[in-house]
Amino acid sequence: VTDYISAYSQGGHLFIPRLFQGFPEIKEALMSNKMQAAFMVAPMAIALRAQGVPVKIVYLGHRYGSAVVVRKDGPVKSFADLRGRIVAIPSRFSDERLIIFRALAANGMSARDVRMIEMAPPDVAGALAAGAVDAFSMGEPFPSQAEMAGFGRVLFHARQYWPDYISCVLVVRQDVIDNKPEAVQVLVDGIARSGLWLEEKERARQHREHAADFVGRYYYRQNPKLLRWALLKPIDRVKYEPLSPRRADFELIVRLMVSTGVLDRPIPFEEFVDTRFAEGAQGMTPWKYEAGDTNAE
Amino acid sequence: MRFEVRMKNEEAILTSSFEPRTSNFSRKEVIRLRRIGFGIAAWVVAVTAAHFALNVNWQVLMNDRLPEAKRKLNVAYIPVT
Repeated sequence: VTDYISAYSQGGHLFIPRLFQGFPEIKEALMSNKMQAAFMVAPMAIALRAQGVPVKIVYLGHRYGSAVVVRKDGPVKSFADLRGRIVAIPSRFSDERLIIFRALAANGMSARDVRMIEMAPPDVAGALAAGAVDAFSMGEPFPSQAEMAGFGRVLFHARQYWPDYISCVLVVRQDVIDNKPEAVQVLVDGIARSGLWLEEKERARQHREHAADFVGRYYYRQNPKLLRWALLKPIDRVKYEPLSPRRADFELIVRLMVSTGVLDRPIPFEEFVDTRFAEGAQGMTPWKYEAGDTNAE
Repeated sequence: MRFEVRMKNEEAILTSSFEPRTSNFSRKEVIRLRRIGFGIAAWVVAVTAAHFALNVNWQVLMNDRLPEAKRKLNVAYIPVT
């Protein structure tokens, strides 16, 4: 959204977006400096930092937007019915895995009660349809894809077990933060403005419809109808505000990562988050842009 | 006998050296070959142009050529929220 709208602004494109198909490839591109910044799942960013990779989280991509989906006509009617079944997750280092652990704890179950397998996000809906997995825990638009196609049913949205749930975060290389802080601030400001634009009170629905159209066609290469479903059914299915990284949210993720065995030791918030850019973006206003406009401000 | 053979060879050499190569083709054939040649060249140019337009990210290439200070950030994303 930020890239599309900023292209109509006086300054032109704020950055260069590059489409990847998986998180491991993004990780490699970041480490080799092919990419200077990336959107990735929060636990992966924390794990990278813990392994000594010089990157920091500077902002969030969104809040909520993940769900656990089961077959509509299948035997799983409640979370307890997942006992002994296979659940697909995007990565060991993902919030979608951690949400399963939270749901397990809330339902008096343990990690041994379900079998989690890693699967590339674009494959999960097909795997559920074919019966290869009993459920998947994934970010949008894949829950919407299963719902829209008629074979999937959302068992629960992330917010049910995790208020203020976060998944996707903006990660920037430390050398870029040190040497080009103004470029990072421009990027964060643009994302903040896009978030406000997507949440703009009376116009949120229109803005989301328009965003689904151009993001689907030019960025995600997905059917705009699918993104419209993900962004509007209901309208708070994915939230784009507030996007500032909060200590409590990340400390919870670190605790869950340690307790589920994907992080050796707790690492301090300051070690993997740089809040100054989010603070710098606090006075931002939504983009002034409507579908069909030739200028954005 | 030997002499005759040599003469024949010399004749053959002379003939092949001085005859124009196109003489093996009729005018019609030459025009057809030229058309095929132009067609192949046009196809190669069209495919190359399509490749450059569709597969090469010019924004990235131009950005990589800028001085470090002026370069925009490359930001990776995947099509999932």
